[in-house]
Amino acid sequence: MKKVFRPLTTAASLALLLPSALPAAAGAADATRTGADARNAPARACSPDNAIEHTLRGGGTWRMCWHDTRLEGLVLEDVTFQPRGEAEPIRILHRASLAQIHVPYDNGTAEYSDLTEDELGAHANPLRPEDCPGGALRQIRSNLATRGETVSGLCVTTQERGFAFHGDNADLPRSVHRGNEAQQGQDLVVYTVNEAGHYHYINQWNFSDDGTITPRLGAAGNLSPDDFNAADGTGWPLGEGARAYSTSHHHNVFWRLVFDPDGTPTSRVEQYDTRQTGHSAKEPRTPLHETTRTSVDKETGGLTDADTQRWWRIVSKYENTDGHPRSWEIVHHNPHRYGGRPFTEKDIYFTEYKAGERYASDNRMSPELSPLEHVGQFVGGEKLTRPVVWVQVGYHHIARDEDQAPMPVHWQSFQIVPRDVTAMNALTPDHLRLPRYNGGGHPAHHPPSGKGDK
Amino acid sequence: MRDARSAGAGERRVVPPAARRRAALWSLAGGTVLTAAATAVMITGTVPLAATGAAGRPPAGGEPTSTALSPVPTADGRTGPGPWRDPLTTAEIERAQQLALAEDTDLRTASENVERERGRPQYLGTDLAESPPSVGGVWERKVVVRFYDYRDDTLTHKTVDLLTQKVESSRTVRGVQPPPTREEAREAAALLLGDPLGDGLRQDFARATGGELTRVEQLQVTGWTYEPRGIQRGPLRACGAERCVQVSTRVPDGPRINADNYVINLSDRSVHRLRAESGGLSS
Repeated sequence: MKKVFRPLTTAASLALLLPSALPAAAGAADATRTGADARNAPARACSPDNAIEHTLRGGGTWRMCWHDTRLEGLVLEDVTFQPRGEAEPIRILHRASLAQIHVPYDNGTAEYSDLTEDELGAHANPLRPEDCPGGALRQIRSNLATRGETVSGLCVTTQERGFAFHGDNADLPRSVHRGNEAQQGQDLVVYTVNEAGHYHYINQWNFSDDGTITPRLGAAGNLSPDDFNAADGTGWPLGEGARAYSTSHHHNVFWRLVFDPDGTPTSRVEQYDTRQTGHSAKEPRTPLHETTRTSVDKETGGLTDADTQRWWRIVSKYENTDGHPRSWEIVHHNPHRYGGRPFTEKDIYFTEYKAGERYASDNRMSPELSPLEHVGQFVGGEKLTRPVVWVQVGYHHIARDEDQAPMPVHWQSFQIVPRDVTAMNALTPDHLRLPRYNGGGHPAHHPPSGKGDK
Repeated sequence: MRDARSAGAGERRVVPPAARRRAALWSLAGGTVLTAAATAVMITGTVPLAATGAAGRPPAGGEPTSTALSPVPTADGRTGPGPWRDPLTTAEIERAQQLALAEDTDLRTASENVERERGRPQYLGTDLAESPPSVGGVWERKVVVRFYDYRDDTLTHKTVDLLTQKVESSRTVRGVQPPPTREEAREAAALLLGDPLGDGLRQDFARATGGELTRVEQLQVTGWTYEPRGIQRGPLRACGAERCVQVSTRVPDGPRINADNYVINLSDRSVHRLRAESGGLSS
């Protein structure tokens, strides 16, 4: 496994040597930047010392800037992906971060908002080199610092993700290639571990070599020893017999994504629904499905499982070389929706961009922000021109004996997947990047209805 | 949101001359380099800038730090205090505090921190503000500086543009309680230690270490705010409007010592026992 980590190591060591890197030095380094992003793309938002930039084994390059805030913790900005062979980096996100971790206990004794009540972001744990295998640690501001004001708490590394693809070339249309085509996928991975009470949350972002982004929150730490009191039937017995009951609770995690597809924040949102529409006339027992597209023009909240298979995508003003609008699909399912609060009622919210709408709940904790309390109130029917996406993933934690000492990590996540960003996928081998393999030859393939006029 | 101060909700005390003198002394003792912008404020204002008056904690490592950030043009023609969206530096954070206080005579001279020092608002932290998305990717470098004033239980957030070195906006509210800083959590633990209700903590410490707990410095302390849920009666009903915290303590590199059955009202410096069923640690 070959890892090319020169830029990261350099940046990390520079940051260690120069904790307050001089602006002039940063400017000088900017001037030496070459390649596509220096030609046309807007200037990068941060200095090379603080940029995260890595070319994965598959040839694609992720670039982004990071900083931390006391509530959100890790904030990623100016996130671009440049697939192998693309002349320019493709801007995807303006800003991305956690927007709340809401933890209500089943018996009503406690209800926490870990970002806004506990300042989760200000509590980054120091990481050891072995906590960041194959990568480099960077300094991040933390209340847990015992010397100075920072800890080595931001890990930038790579991880294997198994098969990226595996296919028989003979199946390609009018194929002139033979044999299996297979490749192992690789992710650029960025994470911090922040604590709130007895919990340690792994705030992780995976950036795959195929252009997919996977925000993940891992709940670790230890069960709260003060919540072994659910003798009222709302918990699960832990340890011998049934003396101690760990109180069941939800972790309702929210992410806020400010999209900036192709550097044009004025993007569109579309909703797709697939439902069974009847049966085949020829084969009456064969069900037929139809996919419909709805333009989401106004602020709204949505459910991922309302009678149909439903998903959304953020659509750029620009098209790929096939003439299809570039877009990013939110691949999302909320398995344990918590119905107890108005801001947890929907799995996803689309709101018009407002800097004052930052947290999915408890927004008023920051007086400079909107006085509106939560994302449910941010949805006011306003026309969407610069959409912000709020994604909720819930998890109902009924503790088990295995959750003890220390608790194994439980992950909550969703994905942002490229859809028609490039004419073929970012990892398609060069010898298969041929017009003969791009469309056609698949008469059995049905595009969603309405795709023709998109 | 209603601005509690401009709406006259907070009654201002007249600043005694002694307090002003103290602010001036701190300014000298701070020994901080001031830039032209701050100096101009000093000249027009009647009260000198208390250079370290806002600092709830000293500069990192206690070393003298120059907080002067003169605009430096970058290679792509931008000017301003350094790279636009990098994490904030300690110098920028200190500078932002100075700028935030420079234009607010009231906060700078009459406010009180958790230790009730006049002219020193409790500093709660500084964050890089969000830069709105725009076509062409123009990035801002503004910060939000946060203060709590124990004199009248108000929270003030000031947005400071590090490029223009100006305070862009200021919002003051009541009834909003962000999590306590380390200084506030430590003060809460100290109040608990100084109270008869701290006996349990002292006994647990003795059991865990064999030693006597006499000073809060013997403990690592973290804290979180306490706000009553539902209808409340009794002495804790003021919490929320006033600043109440719970603390978790541990022996350095040792066991936790449970203290979360107590609520410390930092606004009136009183200590209370919490009913068992409404306690609980975070998450």
